[in-house]
Amino acid sequence: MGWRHPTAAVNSPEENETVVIPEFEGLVREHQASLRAFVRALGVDEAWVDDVAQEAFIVAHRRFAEFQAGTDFGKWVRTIARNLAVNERRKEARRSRLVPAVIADLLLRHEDEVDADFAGLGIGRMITSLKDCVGRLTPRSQELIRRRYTAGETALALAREFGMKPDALRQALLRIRLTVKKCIETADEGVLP
Amino acid sequence: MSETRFEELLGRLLEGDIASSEAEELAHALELRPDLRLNLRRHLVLWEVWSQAQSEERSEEAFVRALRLRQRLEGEDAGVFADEVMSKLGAGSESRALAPTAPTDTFPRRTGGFVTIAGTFFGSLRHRWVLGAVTFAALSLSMILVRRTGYEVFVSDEASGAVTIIDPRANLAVATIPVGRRPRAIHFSPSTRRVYIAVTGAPPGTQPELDDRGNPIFGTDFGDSGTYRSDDGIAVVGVDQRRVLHKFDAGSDPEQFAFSRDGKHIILSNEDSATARILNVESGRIERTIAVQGEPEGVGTTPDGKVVYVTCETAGEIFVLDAPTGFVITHFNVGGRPRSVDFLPDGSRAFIPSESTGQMHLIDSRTHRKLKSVDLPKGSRPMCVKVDRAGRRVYVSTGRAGTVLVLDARTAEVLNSIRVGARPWGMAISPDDRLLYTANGLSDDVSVVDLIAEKEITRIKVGRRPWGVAVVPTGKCLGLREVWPWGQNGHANSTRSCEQGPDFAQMQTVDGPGPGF
Repeated sequence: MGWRHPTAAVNSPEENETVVIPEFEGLVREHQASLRAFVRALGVDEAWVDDVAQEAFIVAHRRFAEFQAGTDFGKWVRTIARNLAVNERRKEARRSRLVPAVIADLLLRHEDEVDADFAGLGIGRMITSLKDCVGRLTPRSQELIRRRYTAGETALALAREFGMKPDALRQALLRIRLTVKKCIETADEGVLP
Repeated sequence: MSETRFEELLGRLLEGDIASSEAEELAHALELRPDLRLNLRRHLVLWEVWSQAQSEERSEEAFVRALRLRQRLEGEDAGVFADEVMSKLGAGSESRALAPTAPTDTFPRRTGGFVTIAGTFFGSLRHRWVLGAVTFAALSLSMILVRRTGYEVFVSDEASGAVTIIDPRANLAVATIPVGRRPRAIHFSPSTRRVYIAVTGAPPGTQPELDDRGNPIFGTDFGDSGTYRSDDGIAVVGVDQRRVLHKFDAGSDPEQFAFSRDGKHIILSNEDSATARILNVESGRIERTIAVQGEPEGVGTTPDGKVVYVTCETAGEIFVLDAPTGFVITHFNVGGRPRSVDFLPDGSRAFIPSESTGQMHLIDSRTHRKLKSVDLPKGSRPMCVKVDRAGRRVYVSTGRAGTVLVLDARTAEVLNSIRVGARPWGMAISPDDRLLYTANGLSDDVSVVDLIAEKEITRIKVGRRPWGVAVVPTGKCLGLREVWPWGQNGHANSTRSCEQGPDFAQMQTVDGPGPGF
């Protein structure tokens, strides 16, 4: 039981020699983080990123026979995710799992830029830089970031909790984001897509 | 576009509250400027990666576990159901060929309901006419199975604008009823055989416009942000008709509610106006509006129907109302954003969870005084509390902690923690106290928990963002005596004739997040 794809011997079209398709779970583990980041960059709402990424892997598993061994699995599954996002945009007239339609359309239209970004994305390195830069923030800013992105609270809820106006809290979050982004870009050029 | 303006719009986009005109403005700039597109993508990616790294529920292990479970449950459910259908049709030997034989062969697509599941496991059929015939038979059979089970499970899907009906025997979604925007609290009334659902014009993920002090502005439609005040109300679904019969005006943004003992009144909380309202469900008129405090949410009535508790989030104040009149008897404080309330069967104790402090408060519900506060496991964000009919156990959904906690009803101490889907909120207990259903808002499913083994046994895919759950008896009164598994006042088995109808007070314990009664 479970969904590990059986190890299977296939012929590589290029070399006509037997290669082993890696187990599917290994592929999921290898690509899940960057796929989720890619899905977000396509304009999928943050609350639905995991959902869409899971669907991409489900489709990939179902169609695994179509995957050419020896080619880039990450690129293949990103294409699937992109198609899912496009379908989502087509089927929903109102906002659903995507950011506002006009932004989602734009991000999907320039998806080639996004895919190029993700070809060699180093998630581990990005996390290290993020931790370093977030660690330099004031304790209050760190708490805001923790509540917003670890606990998943909305800006409105945080505004109530921190006794701030929603606009003021949004501004505070924006300033923190800009500071962290600048910190990463300065400290480790090339870590960001 | 200036850098300042871009950052302003970026901030709104990242917080999910950008107006459509602002989105247009931002899109125009992004279209012209590749550097701004890169900037936006970097922001999106950075915090997505940060969230993955910091949030336990978004870790690699959690992601893989959820993916594996999704495939396994959907595959098994489909297989079991296919076997059941085919054996009933007398085609037992063929049934295995119709079911997904192994997950290595099929990775069923995500199920949004019975038809999707049917499409999945019938996908291998070569003859379309067979597909049609068997699907029809299976649909018919599913309805028979529902009737035999004695109850159905109704789930409000906040982002789908619908209620999903689950067959608890097959553990499958068998029907979907559109009910209006953003359905949340859901309760069944046996006196009318109708299901009542709080709906609101504010779609999920958006916030109404705010005034200079940060308060939501009401009184008009918010076309620009997609928020429609006129959609607020209590939708009424006929259980047998399977459709919305009508909708009551219930003030702005109704969230949770409870029935009076005689079933003729609904007491509801209006979060944005800091009021509770008493709605007459026969006349459809609001009979009383009661000022409470900021963000009233949970509403619950004592088993004798005499007293109503309203939990107010902002200051953590609990208002105690006289049920018939709405007169404020007293109020007391528990702090920490209390979200719901439930009572022991004898009415002696109330349980109120505080979301932000992760505590459960044990209340003497005769003197309305707090007896003790118990710290729940770290990370708990308790939402919905339910007491079983035997009065022995208390169950609490913990939101983003992804668990249901089992508490000793005498002491409120934690006995066990049961892992369920992502962000469980609403819960309902089966009539025999053996199963608990949780609405998992972020995994779009309902967990079925075996309360004897204290383990999750399956998950059922429903609509988007399930919020509340109600258990609804399926029996129709045809002049025959039938067994209602709910007991007198919901706490001891009894039989009642159809003429008598089910006891109302006990039915009140089976509903959605928070209140029940």
